[in-house]
Amino acid sequence: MTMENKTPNISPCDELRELLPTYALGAASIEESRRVQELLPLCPEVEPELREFATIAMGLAKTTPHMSPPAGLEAKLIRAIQTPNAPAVVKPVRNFPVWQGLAVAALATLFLTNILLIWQLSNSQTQLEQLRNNQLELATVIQNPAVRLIGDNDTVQAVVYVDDSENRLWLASNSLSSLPAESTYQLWLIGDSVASVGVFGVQNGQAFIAFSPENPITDFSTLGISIEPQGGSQAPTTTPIAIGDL
Amino acid sequence: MTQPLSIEAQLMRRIRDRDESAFSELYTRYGGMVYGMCYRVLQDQTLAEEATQDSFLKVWNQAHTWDNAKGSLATWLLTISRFTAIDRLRKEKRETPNSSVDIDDMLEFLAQYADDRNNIEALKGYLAQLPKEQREAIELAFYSGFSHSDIATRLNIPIGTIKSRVRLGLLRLKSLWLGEQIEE
Repeated sequence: MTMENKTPNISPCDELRELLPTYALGAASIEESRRVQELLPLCPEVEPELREFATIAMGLAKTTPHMSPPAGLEAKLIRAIQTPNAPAVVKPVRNFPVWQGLAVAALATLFLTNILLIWQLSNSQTQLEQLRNNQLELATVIQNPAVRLIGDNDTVQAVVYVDDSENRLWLASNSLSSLPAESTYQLWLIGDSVASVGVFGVQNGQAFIAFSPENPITDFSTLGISIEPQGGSQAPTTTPIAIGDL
Repeated sequence: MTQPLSIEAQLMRRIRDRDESAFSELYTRYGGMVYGMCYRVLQDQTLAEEATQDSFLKVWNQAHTWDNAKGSLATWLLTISRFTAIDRLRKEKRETPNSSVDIDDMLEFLAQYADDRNNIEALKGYLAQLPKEQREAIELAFYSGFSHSDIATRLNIPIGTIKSRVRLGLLRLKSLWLGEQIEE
């Protein structure tokens, strides 16, 4: 006979009821939210309860006192919408004397990690070849000019190596966090207009991706990364988390 | 005969048509509300200003997603600004967003009468009547987007207790505000 730690025998609809309060307040975890969405169609009798909780949540929102926004915010907003597809806030990129060291350090970490992964994944020929190709590409691109993409607190979030002649970009990062499944990072070329370079994810805390933008890189002055819905967006929908001058 | 468009619907139609004066009008009407929500969540003027800016730009870029049938413009703006501010709060704390509640999903569940209800002041009073620990748990969930486990860790209290506080607090608010019996 085996001894099991059984969870209390709770019906799916009772489980749903238990999850509703934080879901309605917008504070459920990703797993809890998914579970609510799974269970709701099974328990239509619970929906009115969710509606009531959501109504209270909206009532709570409306109890929040209004405040006068800072002077000048409206003018900033108007300027932002007058620049087609412009990101909300473009932070100045300051000179940072040790950037090149950081860039190399980021790539060196990726390089070492690739070697470790090769050891760990040596039973997979495809992965092995892929990693070796990454190493070769890393060795090549490190010779190219680099742009550091700066985020909050002047931290380097990613380094982008640029090859104008081939119109190619390589992004390397070991600073970006993994995102939930419904979001993705998106790299943008920013100038008089904004063009998507492509979307990318982070695995094991690292990213190394090659891009061949459709638009000439030389037509733009800045690179930026934003967080977008999975699949990417036509134009940035959130403030860039990191930018850098080309 | 077709129904005339409400003032809100007219405003949003103009914004969809890229009318900058309509955007300015929207800001004049709702800027204080949106900034107030962002400040309540972030407790910092600079961050609240940035979140307000992001919220209004989302409206400009996603004006077509507003559906009058799902709630008032104020409801939509408050929902956008709260989630934008909470996302910003998490980014500042270098935390991965843990909520996957979609604004549209949430609005699906909002009863129209939430917008018609004028006694928001009464709800404020009822919130003040809640036991301190229930109010605290609800406010941490609502204004900071903390999950049960986040709140439990922050307050060093078992997660079951937190679940119970949030649920009982909401049930009490429901009873007081919506005039129903508490199902404790």
